[in-house]
Amino acid sequence: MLDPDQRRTFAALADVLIPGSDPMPSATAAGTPDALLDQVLGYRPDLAEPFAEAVAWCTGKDPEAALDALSVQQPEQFQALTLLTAGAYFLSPRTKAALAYDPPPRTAHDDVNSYIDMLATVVDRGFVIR
Amino acid sequence: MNTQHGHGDADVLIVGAGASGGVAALELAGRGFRVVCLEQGGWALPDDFTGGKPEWELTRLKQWNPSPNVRGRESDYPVDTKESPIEPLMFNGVGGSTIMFSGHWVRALPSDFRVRTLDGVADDWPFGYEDLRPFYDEVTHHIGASGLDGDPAYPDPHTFPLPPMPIGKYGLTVAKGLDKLGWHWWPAPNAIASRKFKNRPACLRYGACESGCPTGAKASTDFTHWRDAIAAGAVLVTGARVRQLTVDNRGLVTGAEYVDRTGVVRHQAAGVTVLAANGIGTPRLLLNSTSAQFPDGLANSSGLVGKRLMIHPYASVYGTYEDELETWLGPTGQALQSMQFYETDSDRGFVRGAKWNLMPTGGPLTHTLWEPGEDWRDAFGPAFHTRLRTTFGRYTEWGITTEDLPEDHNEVVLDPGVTDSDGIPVPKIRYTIGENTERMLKFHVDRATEAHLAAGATSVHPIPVVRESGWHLLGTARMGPDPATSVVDEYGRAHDVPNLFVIDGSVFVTSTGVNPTATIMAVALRSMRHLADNRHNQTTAD
Repeated sequence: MLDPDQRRTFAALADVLIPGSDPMPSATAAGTPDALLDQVLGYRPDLAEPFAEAVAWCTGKDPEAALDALSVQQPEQFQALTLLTAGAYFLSPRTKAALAYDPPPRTAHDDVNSYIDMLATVVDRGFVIR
Repeated sequence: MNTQHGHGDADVLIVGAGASGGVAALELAGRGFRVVCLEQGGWALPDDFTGGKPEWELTRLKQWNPSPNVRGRESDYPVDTKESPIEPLMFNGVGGSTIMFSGHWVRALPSDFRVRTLDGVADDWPFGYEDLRPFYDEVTHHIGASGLDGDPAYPDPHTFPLPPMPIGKYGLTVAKGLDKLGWHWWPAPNAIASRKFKNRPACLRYGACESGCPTGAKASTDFTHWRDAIAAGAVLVTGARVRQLTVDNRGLVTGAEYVDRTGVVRHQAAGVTVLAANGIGTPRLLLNSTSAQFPDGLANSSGLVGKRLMIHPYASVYGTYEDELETWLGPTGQALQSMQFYETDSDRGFVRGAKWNLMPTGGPLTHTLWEPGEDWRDAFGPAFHTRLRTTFGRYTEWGITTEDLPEDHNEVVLDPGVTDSDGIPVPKIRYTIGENTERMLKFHVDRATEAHLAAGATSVHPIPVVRESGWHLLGTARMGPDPATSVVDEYGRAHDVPNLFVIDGSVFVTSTGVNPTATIMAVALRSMRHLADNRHNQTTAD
């Protein structure tokens, strides 16, 4: 569990990584630094340590400059930071609403009729079987 | 250390409960054999998988990663891949790698069995397409594959018990591109139930096939074979890691020593032993089964155990499309396949060819991953939304499965200095991509790029060799008529040990250019039916 200072540092980094871009919310507007972060850390406990190291490494630094250096000098930590940030972001109801897509489950309806005429052409072209 | 007894008397011991092991267990138990199977992993039920759940995209990269080296479960063993450009992928558990395979259910073509005759390379198989065809038919209808009859790439209108999976918006778009070019395509065959079939419900298109089907629609052998095999009397022992096969003074295999999950070493005796542990696990076990009679490993008088590893170097060519094509929808699985450049054309500068499969590209997280070495501003910052907007739902993959030829220097060896959690030496892979395959990859990547552009792609992103793509582990205990140049005969019986059989992808003479599971299961069925039909002539250990 992150303490409030760590969470503030992470929030600043997260908004540089995922700024807002209409209609998509920024990371903090999506709620990424809050319960969603705890949720994804629960899904990937193996990343808790490199994630905490990334946040600690960036603490007290300008977020963008810190990310520049972290990505080059500590790629494993940077990868954990970005994966968890994006992972939490896509769990946000605000993000899902902005993405506006209809995720599975979906019934596997047969769509042969949409291409059956095209297949006749494929058959007519033939194939040389050796 | 005391060795405890296993699970009673067995006519046949099977090592490995995957694609071929499932076929063997059902065939033999159904024919009245007392069957015991040792499987190092356990059962995985649909609800164990994360597809369709919030954690799916994160856990598929770790807990349900297809690489045992990344997954690192207790049931996995590490594989040293430092000398390979391709990472081997597998799952250790009931169903084996069919738990995590993408379900591409593709028959080899007739030419695959005659490459020496037709192309002057490698060797012909000891049997042909027509010999295997009835077993392809039987297995296809048993497992409930989905597909459409009449593909002109095959000499027979082979049938499917279920209609094809939908090709979707992206499949239709790309098919139109192929038609412009006059190239072959067909709605792809999948080992996925498009409608309810036996004990499996219909696919719900989560697109999570490669991290375990959360619906139970995929034809993994835990569903298609093991439940029926157990009902027929087969005993399946999970959490049982075999460390070596044992032999008697006649040179017959007497069973296997294994370590159970409590750390106890046990011995399972059997009259006949069948190895079904995949193209890495099987040679690992044979090479680790040394004795005074077999100092170089069991069944290895030819020196070919572990040699001739083929792994199908795989290229991905992604196309980005302007329109929303719902490329997050499964199955994963394949929508289309093309055999346009499967057969040899000497003008191309290489022999043999490759099969193409058109696939979706998953959920949003997939499109925003950062890789070390990449400028982070290409993936995050304002680019995060640009990338997401242009790819999510609009990005589709031509995957290219190339036929690599058998070469002795591509091999599985034991690393005596490194052991798994049970003290068994780990396998090490030495693999290089051959010159013929390199030329093949380049040619096919160029053609797949053309195919995307013809279909209207606004940009194309090729990955000439995908490292995490080594699903197809083949050739490391090859079939053949000559004991000097092969490990097993055409029915999988070891030339050196008449009561030892190998039935997994290790026996492949060449790799073919298609996903091998249909062929593995058809060949296994042919071998095990022959064993059952000839049981009265079969040599057994006491």
